[in-house]
Parts: sequence; C-alpha cells; structure tokens
Amino acid sequence: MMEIRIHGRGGQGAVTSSKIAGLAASIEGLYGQALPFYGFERRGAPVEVYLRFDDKPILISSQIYEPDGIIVLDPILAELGNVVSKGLKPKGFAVLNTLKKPEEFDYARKLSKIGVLDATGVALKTIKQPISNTAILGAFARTVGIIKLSSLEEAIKQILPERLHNANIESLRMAYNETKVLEM
Amino acid sequence: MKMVEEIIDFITGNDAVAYAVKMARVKVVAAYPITPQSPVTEKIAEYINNGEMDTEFIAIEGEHSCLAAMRGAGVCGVRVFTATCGPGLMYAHENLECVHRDRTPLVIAVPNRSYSSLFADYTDSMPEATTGFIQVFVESPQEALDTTLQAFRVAEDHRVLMPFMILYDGYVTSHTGATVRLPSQEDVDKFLPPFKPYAVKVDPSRSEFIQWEAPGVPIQEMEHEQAMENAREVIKLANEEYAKIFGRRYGDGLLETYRVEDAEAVLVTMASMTGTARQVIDMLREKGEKIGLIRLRTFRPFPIKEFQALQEKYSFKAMGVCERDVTHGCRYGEVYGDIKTSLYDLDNRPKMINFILGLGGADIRIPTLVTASEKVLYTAKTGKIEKESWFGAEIGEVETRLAAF
Repeated sequence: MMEIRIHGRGGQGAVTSSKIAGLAASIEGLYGQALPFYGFERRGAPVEVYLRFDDKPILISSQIYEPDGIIVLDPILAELGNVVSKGLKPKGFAVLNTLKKPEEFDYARKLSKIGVLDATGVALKTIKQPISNTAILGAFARTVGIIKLSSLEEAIKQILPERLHNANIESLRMAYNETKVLEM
Repeated sequence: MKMVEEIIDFITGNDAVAYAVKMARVKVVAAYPITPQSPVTEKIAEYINNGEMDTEFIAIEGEHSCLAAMRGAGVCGVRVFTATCGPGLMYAHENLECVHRDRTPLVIAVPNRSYSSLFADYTDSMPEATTGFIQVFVESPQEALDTTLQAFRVAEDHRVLMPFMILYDGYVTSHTGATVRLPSQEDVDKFLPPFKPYAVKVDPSRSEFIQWEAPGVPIQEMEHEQAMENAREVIKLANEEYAKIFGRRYGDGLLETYRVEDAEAVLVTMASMTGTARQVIDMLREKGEKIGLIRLRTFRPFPIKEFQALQEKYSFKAMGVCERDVTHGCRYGEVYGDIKTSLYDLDNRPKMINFILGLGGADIRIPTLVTASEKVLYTAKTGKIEKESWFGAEIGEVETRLAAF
C-alpha cells in the first residue's frame, strides 16, 4: 500500500485532485481511497487529504500519520518543513508546487525523490486560474509513476465538467513535461 | 454463475448510497439538509433533475415533518427513502417511533455524527435503538451501496415489514472517496423486485386520518418483536442472495469474523474502525498473539444467538468491545451492555472490557487499538481485569480533528 498526504489550501482543489487520482488508480485496476480532513468554510485555509493506493481493497480508515510521500499544492506550505514533512518516511518522496530548486528543501535530503514544478504558473497559463490541482497531478505522475498520465486524463474527463477538460488536460501534460525530478 | 457487469468508479459513501437509491427505483424521497448527510439527497435531487429517477422529491421544512411525510407516502404503498443524521435524526425522533407502528418499510441512511461536533460517533442513532428500526452498521462506501439495496429487500419482506436504518461513519465513510463497483440496473432488478405492499391503508387522493385500532399496543409490540426475530433470518438470506449475484458477502449478514480460529482474545468493532482493527489483528498475530475480531454489522435485531454460538465454538477468554458511544451514568456503551446480556447465561462466558473510542469524530488510530488489544490479551492470559471500561483519552487517543480549526 502507498500512503500519500496532500497539503493545500481550500480552493486549490486538493479534494478534487484526490478524487481524480483515486479514479485514475481505479481505472488501472488498483484500489484507491481519499479521506479528506476538513471542516467547513476552508477557502484559503490549509487542508489535508489522505490518499491511499493498493492492489487489494483498502480497509484501514484512519488518517495518515507516516506517509510514503507528500504532495503540496501551495508554494508557501511547501516551505513549512515542520508541517508538511511531519511523519514523512525517510525513503519517501515529495511533489512540490514551488519556484525553488529541489536542493533548497532541507527536509527533502532524507527522501528518495523530490519533484518540483511551478504548478501555479502552469495553471495560470492553461486554466487561467491559480488552481494548481491538475498541474500537481502531472508532477506526481512524472515523479512517482505509479499512475499513468493517460489514466489521469481519463479521470479528469469523468470528474470535471466538459468545458474544463481541454484546459485541465493541457495543464496536466504541461506539468508532466516541466517537472524537475531529483533522485537522491 | 454468470458474471455481473459492474462499472468501477471512485465515489464517496454518500454518493454510493444515492446510487443504490436510484437503482432501487424509490418512488418518494423527502429530505432536509444536514451535514454530513446533505450530499446523499443532493445527488438524488440531481438524478431526478436529470430525468434518471422517476421519483417525487419533497423539499421539506424539517426532519420531524420529513418523517411524517415519509409515513404518509409509506402507507400509500410505495417504496420510500430518506437520509438524515445527528441533530436531524434527534429532531425526527417522535415520528421515527411511529414508523414501525405503520409497518412501513421505510429505509433511512444515517451517516452517523455526534451532536456536539460534525464528525462521527453514535450519539445520534443510539437513542433510536428502541424505536423498532432494523439498524445495520456498514464499514465502507461499497458496503453502504450493497446494504442500501439489501435494506429495501429486508424491510419490505412480508415476514418483516419493519423500517431499516443504514448506519455509516460521518466523514470517515460518507465523504471518503473509494473504489466502488456500481451494479447495473438489470442486475439490481434481479435482486430487488418491485415493492409489493402487504396492505394499502389509505387512498392518496383523499385526506385521511390513520389510527392504529387493532390490535392494541401490547399485542402490536409483541408482533413487532416477532417481525424483528424474522428479520434476523431475512437479513442473512438477503446477504447470501446478494453474494450469489454480486459476489460480495458481509459475514453472515449479522456478524463478520476475522482470524477468530484459536483466538483467546477477541475485539468487537463496528463500522469503519473495523478495517483499521484488522490491521492491528494482523500485526499482533505476526507476534504470535492469539487474537481475532468480530464485527457487529447488525445492531438491531441484536445477534444474540450468533454471539452465543461464536462464544461456544471458540471459547474466547476475553472480549474487548470498541464502540463510538457511551451511556452516561453506566460508564459503558449500548453494544457492550447488549453483548454482556447475550453471553451472561453461558457457562464459558468471557471476561469483558469496554473501549469507548472515537467520540466527536476522534480518529481511531492503530496505536489506540493496539493498546486496547493488549489490555484484552492481558485479561485473556491472567484472568484479571484492570478496569472494565476505558475512554479513548485514557488509552492515548488524541482528538486530532480539532487541529483543523
């Protein structure tokens, strides 16, 4: 089982990104689980979503405290190492929305992989709004590779309204191409 | 056996219930919004709006009236459904009590929530344990879908004709996205035939007053106890019939066991905590500990004989009952009391400990369940009980939910 913690702010689409990733995993014959940790009126406030993938049905229902990896949708949160790297497994991975280089993140030194991307920039170019969720999924596909780009595209088509398909698929693909991955 | 055609999707527990309600061809839905239930009825309203469901939707002013509307529709002899939870269920209490007197097989979905927070515990449904509803606690979004379909079949069976409550943990199951298999309409129709009312008591074109005249209350209550007795077998049958068509089975429908063979200690769990507990059982089994798990699926009717049969077969020395509710003044939860009563007459009854966990939606974590299991194992090995009931906070549970605010 792979356990991932997604960090974002309300409005950046963290919950939607977890649904897209979960459906993409399901399309590939895996089992997915997305457990949002939220209350109400969260726009702008930090949110977390717990994402699990496995090749058998996922039964555990508690939150994730020691993730195999993190996905961070917000560049300021990405710099808060004590928040986002809490409990992160030493050989884990990080996928970050940031303008910085992978080497600049102290907490990433113990990890096996770090993928960085200006996901907000990609989102502004493609969907014309700072909603970094589909871009960060492209970075995730590039960095970790557990889920194929084509499955993510299919999931976007099933989950988002039709008028948003093209821009979001463009965002996903551009992100995939522009992500820089550092392997330790 | 012909394989069924199912679509694999990634949806929440609430959406899974709504999908099942659509497949069940429900005729009348009345509902009032409340967190975390609202997405169920929002999805149903969307289906109706899209023309996917031929259903009368009543946007009603509150849960008390909602249950009255459901009773009214029910006595007209059509399939009826609603969903509510938390304070909404509490507000509906008066009319909940009346539903079984109509013998209306109303199905209610309840994503359990605390009164004091938005998150899961059984403060809302436990006070309804005496209202004549069949109550089934489900573990996952997939089981929520499957059980909703089974619920209509069980409740509408003429041997039963009692209302049915599907219970699943608010947020933990209601809002968790999961890989869910969606059955086709054709296959669902094979499992769930159209509703055949036992008797239609009123003419919906006229305004009528319904009065329960005969039999009188004492005889009526006795008959309804028999109906609940019948429900035990009908739930088991529905579980088996469902498994034949769709390949998914939840224990015997009443209880589900996990690694109980040769177990000296056993945990009893409910709903979503069960999956986490299974991992704990695996961890402890790897260390050589003789521990297993029983999941209480059906809470009403209570599986008295089934608990007794398991105890007689496996002779557990100690049992730890984990539940998300407490009866203040007793220092134990409803389930603990019911299991203890069920096992009291057995010569080889186990020592029992109660763990009151996850109140107000506190996350039920692996370390908490490990500590609980260790206490049950200690009692199984020594015969001693350190303390009969433990609150989560006494065994290291942290209310992590609060950190979000």
